[in-house]
Amino acid sequence: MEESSSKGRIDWYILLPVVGLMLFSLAFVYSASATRAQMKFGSSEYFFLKHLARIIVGLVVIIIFAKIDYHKWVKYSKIALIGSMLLLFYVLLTGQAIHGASRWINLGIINFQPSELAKFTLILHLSTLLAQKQEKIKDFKEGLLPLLFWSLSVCFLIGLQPNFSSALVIFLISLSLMFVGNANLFQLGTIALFCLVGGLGYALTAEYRLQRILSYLGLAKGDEGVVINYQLKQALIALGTGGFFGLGPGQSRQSNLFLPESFGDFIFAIIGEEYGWLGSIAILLAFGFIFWRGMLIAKKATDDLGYFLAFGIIITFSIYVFVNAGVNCGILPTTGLPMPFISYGGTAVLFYAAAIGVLLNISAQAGVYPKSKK
Amino acid sequence: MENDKENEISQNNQPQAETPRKLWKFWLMLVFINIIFLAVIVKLFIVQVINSDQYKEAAKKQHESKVTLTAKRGNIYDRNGNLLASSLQKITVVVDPSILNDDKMRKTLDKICTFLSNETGVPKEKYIDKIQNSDKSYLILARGIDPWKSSKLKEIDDRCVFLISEPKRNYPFANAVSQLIGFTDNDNVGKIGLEKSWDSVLQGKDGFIIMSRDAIGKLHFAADLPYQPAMDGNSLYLTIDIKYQRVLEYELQHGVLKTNSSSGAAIALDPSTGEILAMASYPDFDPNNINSEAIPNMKNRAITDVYEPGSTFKGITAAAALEENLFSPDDILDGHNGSIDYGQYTITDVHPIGRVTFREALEQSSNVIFSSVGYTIPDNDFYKYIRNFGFGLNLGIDLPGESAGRLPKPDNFTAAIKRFMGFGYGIMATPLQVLCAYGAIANRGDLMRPYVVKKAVKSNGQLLFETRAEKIRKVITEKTAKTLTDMLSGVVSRGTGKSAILDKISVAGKTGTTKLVVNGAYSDNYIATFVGFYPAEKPEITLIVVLDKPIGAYYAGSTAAPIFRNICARFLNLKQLDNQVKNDSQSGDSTNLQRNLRFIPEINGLDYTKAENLLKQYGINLESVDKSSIIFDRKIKSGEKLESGSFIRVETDTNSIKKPDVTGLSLRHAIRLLQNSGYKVKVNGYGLVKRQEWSDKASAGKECTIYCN
Repeated sequence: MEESSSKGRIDWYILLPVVGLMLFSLAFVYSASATRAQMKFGSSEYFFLKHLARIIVGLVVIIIFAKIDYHKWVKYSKIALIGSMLLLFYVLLTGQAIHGASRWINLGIINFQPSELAKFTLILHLSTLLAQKQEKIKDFKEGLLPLLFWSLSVCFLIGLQPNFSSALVIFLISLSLMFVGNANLFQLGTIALFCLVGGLGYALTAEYRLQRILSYLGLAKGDEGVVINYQLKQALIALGTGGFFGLGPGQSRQSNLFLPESFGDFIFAIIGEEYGWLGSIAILLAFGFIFWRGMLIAKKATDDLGYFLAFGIIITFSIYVFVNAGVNCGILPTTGLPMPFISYGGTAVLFYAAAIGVLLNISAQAGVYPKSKK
Repeated sequence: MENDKENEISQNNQPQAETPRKLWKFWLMLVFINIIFLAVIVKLFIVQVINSDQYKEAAKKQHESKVTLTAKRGNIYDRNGNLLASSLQKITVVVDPSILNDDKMRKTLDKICTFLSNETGVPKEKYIDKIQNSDKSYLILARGIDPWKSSKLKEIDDRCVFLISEPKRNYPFANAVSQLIGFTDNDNVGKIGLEKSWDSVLQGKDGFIIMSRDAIGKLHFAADLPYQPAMDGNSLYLTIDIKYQRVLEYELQHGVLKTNSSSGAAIALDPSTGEILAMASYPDFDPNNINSEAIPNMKNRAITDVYEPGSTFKGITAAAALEENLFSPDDILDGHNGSIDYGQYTITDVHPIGRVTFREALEQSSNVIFSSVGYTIPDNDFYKYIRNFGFGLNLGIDLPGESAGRLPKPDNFTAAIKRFMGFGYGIMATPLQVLCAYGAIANRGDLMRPYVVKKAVKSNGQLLFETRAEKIRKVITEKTAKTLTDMLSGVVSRGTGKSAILDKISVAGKTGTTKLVVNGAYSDNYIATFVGFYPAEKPEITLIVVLDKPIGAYYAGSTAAPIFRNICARFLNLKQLDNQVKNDSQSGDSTNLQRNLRFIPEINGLDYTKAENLLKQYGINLESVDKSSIIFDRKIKSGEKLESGSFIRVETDTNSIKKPDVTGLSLRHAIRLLQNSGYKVKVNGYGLVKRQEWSDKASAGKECTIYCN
């Protein structure tokens, strides 16, 4: 800690857009959730207040994690990953079924989502392993196999919930981490091919997954197709009505129960409705800025662990933003992945905050800001 | 652009043998992520900017719903502003049988039907049957339920009970004036009477509001969507005086019952203007409760039924003879002792007389003499006078269903036709025509157009139009009219109309007992008529009473004339009382007997002049310091009663008027108030207004944001 703080301060350039997005998300969530909250709980602020509490906790979490030397996590990475896998296992056995999937543990205040925890403990552990095994990384058994084992186990458990899209995205993140971590490209390619085939098989085993993919391809028939297309149709109507400048803050009409998940997975469409194209690209540019800044931190990280960890974190952010925005505007098949910091959702906010905290700690040790001493 | 530092020695303890950071992989990932972000931005541009219109159209379709704002049908008042017909909001209960017929809903079904049964008196089983035999999902169960009661239905079940607010016509005086005013059907369209003939005036124009709709179909107000307020219908003020009307109806009803007549009609008219003061037929009906039994009683017999006027027509024959100087009142004529034989037919008198004056002939109602008087008048002259008195043509009263009667053309006149016409046979007329002809005699020979609608007033209190008394034509000279009036007074004081004599007031009038034609032959049924006016010197009221088929003593002198007298006597009493009240009352404008309590209309949101006009109609005066503002005063409770002639003092705190405090009001009310005060309104939420915020930015214009629960 002492050494690191001497190196520099945290990167304000990444913290500011993050905090900005978190604060703006308050307005977004309020506007997008008011009607539903009014209807379900008799108070339009119901979701807003919960979100507000989480944003506040999230800010605290950022500060705490930014203060903790990221090297300290190495010791706990394996145990944390095993712990989160146990939790994943636990939700499979007992978890509440929400939308036909067991994803949550009810902790009273929030519904805890172990997959969010598992996502970040996996990145942490993969980064640790990659940093440790750089010499042996080309060796399949010693190098790649343990990495594959952990990733596949986590993804398998998440896929069983069933939450295929999260499993797929997390596996993609793992692969890209291995790719940047110098895994043998031939081995990686073979695995990717295997997983593609396996994933496709898996996708086809569940009716709703098949329907979603068919619906994306415009081939779905019957009710399921209608429902999924309904979400996309409503999202597109929201974005389209927004036009260039948007209808104005709080003027969303699609959030009047037309668009399901209007403050969760489809909040981006509501933002597009209220703030227009300008608003939606502003969000994307803010994330883009976070991405570029995160990549810079990764590049400047003082050691391999920092490099891999920063890369893993920032690639997770970006992929989630891309998938969410892509689903909202219809270039990806409809799936329920939240937009980091923007979507309403308890666990996600806290873990993303923790991840940003870690990233900030890496940046502080790398001395990204202020620019390296000269 | 950055200095690569991968070769720098890490400050950490972890070993680093070779460079792990293959930068091409790093850049590849960076570029890849940038590309997919760019793809999203491009796609968003396509959706949000290029194809925006298409989605806006789709949004409009699902977000907006046009709701009709039903215009309030105008009220009908009598000449003094007493309410005769108004519209109340009543609830029509609609249910969804497709849900209710589920076995799980048995209890709910039972509760709903029990409730309705208690409200309407219709047996519960009838409702249950109706629901169970319906395969629709929208079934009208009951109409006309009071709004405050029907809300309990919503508590029983919210999903399959729909309450639709519909205006229901209410007639506070029930049977009184029923044929004249008529009634409206369930769609609020006038079916008979004034409600029918003045439908377009009363109806108003429905408005609409485009409301935003959410995904489950709930509608919300939105200030920025088009809003066309309903134009409420105009109100009618009649020439009818409800006090006179009720007297007329009471006496007519009792007369009809007492004489065992099958029906009766009576009309009272102000001869100088043609204003109908009262008009009734008996039996009547209750327009609040229309059923099949009411149908035969809906006819306004006074204007639709035609009959042979009989002896009442002798006044007309006399007028023609006097005007043409063929006879004067004191000319001696031969009554042939009650019978004269013309070969094919014989004309007889009830009271045989010999040689008498023309005046006495009228007093004794001699058919024999009047047949020869009629015969003496030249064809064209006779026809002209009859026609000019208003027979054979519509008088043009502002009521539907007026009959023109029948008058033979002079080309077809024969000696027989003229002789019979001389005493009122062979010609068909309505009671109204006979009345108006006598009105012309009472009005110095001027025939006035009869009318019942005095004026129409817009919902904001402005006058739409006012009917002016209209002289149709001069029928006879004033001198002739005077002579004839004098002769008609003799009919009452000395002749057949003695039972119409009033104390201190001289009445001029004429009896008429007509044999009814049944299947082309005269039967033993009669129509008894008395028509006349008072005071003879300066007539104020012309009145006709017609009784159809009185049984027993059928002569008009003993049937219609007493009814006439009773009505006149009570009219005189009313007038006396009115004068007393006028003298007693300091304000001098109270025309009613009792304390005249008036409901305060809703004036909040109107500007001063409109409110003042509106209140004036209700006989209430408005006081306010600031006359340029919109009225806004929370203390005014519309619907409360106030004595006519009292003053309302309106809150004049300019600030509170210019910035109306709308918290606690319904959203619609609040929006209207604010918009009337010149504010743009922004709405958050819906329901009752919780709080409001002002913004007076000069650029944006005055704006008020209201927040609802």
